[in-house]
Amino acid sequence: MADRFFVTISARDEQQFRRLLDYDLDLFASRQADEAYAVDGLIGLDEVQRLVEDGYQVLVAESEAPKVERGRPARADEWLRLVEGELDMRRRERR
Amino acid sequence: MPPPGYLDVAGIDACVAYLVRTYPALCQTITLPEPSREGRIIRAVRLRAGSGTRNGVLLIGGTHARELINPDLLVRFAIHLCSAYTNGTGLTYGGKEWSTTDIRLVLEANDIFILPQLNPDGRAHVFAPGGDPWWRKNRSVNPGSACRGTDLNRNYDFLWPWTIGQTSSNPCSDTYAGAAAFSEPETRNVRWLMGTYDRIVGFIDVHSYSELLLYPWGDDDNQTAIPDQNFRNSAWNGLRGVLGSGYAEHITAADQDHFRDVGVRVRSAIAAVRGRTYTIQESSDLYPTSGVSADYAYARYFSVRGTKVWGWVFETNSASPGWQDGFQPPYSDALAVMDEVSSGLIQFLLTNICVVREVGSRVLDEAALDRLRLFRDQFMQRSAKGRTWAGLLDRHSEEMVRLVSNDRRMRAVVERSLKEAASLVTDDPASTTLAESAASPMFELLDLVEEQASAPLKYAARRLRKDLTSTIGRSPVKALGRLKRDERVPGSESRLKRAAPEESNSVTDDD
Repeated sequence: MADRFFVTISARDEQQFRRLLDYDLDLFASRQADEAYAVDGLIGLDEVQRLVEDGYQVLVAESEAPKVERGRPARADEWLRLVEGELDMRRRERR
Repeated sequence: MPPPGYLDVAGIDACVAYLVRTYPALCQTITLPEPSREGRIIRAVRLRAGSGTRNGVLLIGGTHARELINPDLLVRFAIHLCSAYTNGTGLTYGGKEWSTTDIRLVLEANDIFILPQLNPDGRAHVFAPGGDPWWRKNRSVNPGSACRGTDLNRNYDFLWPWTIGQTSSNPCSDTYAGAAAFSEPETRNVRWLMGTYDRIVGFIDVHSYSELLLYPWGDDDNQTAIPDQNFRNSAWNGLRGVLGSGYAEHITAADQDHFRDVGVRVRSAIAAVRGRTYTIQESSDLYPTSGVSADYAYARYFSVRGTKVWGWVFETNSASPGWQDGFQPPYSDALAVMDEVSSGLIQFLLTNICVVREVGSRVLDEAALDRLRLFRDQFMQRSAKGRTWAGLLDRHSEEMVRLVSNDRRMRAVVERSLKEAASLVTDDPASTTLAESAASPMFELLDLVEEQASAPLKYAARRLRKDLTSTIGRSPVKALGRLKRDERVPGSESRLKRAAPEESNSVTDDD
């Protein structure tokens, strides 16, 4: 699979924003709350190019490559001990 | 592989097993009828304390595989509730304290159904070495396509064939709606839960990210003025979600107010933890969609059966400081999100408690409670005065439940008032009249409320006192004033009618 990038795509108006939905891209809510016609996405460079050619502004933010170290999942017994331990501590604090 | 700290599929399953093993009086496993596409058993857990019928809430997580926080959040939340209840304590999340009474009410007056990982195959793919950490869909094989997976949150039977807005008929798209509505076993399991436990009246599908509280509708903007513009009206097929089509989806003003009122309370409960302010909005404000869970849940009321399910999508977590962190923050950050959302969930569960059902279930039979509910929906909602009464009850139900739970005298008076109300609300409520003696416990109740309640509830009590006085000697239907025609239940001008399933172009309940 081609590398993908986390991006923010901005449209100039609602009409252009609605047309964006026809591109079949992986889009999700925008982190740019102050921008009315912006949406985040995870897309390939070819898609970035197509969008730019079609008049969208695309901010390429970060690669999909994990930026923090990945690790093994939590073991359930350890995780449960942490949750119960934290609850005990909060109960003591409440008293 | 995701960041360390998250539970994998087996870990979530182990936590569900732990809950049932550790808190057997409070938790019951529900093995869902269908395994996932890759054959994994999917389990939900039901939380409740005590016995008796009550309203239910269904919380689901893990619909989108890469949104890792929410399955952990839901099992942790369940453990918190059970532990606090068992130890007779409250719960503290940052700056928000929930009292022992709150926790008791949440578990004693609700059936809480938690389905923490709807999409275990997707999660397994996210965790697998060589898997895709940003996988969204389930892992179904799509015949004729090399691309796998269906977006489960486009696969529900709400305007399914129309692939509105951010919904796709392309199997390679991340928002592929599937081969048919409910083509996926995972979504059929949700339908089964709603169909089997028909007292479920609240539903939250917990997603990430953006700190949003989304309520219906998702297909187009909401409007309260044109009832005929609704998802069942096939004349508008193909025009929903289309800019400039003139279409907007109908919702009653009362329902919209309810969604907003609940949203404001949940938002406050979240913000009280560490100051994050979630945004409440119609889900179409994000982008139009079809086949989404919360729309399906809410739409069932209009097409499948009489219970109204208040459907929500919560988008937990901000995206700050980086995009990847929106879906999979470092676990220390995820815990802070879990705390604030847990506080919001407690508030949602408290809001879900209906004082009429909570108190009434001890003194009235199911048929009488059902008649009261139908009277609210079929008569009160059809007049301005009735909507005001219903709205006051809705807004103040949580406070009333607290007052009643702390004051035996208040509870006794509410019980007597409800018995009198139930005797008025027969199948033909136009034929009964409110006698002065029957109104007496109601006035007594208003006296107590004016002594003990908050200023807004006292004000509401004063308004109701005037209306109650003018109702004496009249039928409850007459007291409501002029009634609008009921579009949903044709012919119900004077008698209570049980809604029957009707023909529509979406929303089914075929298990």
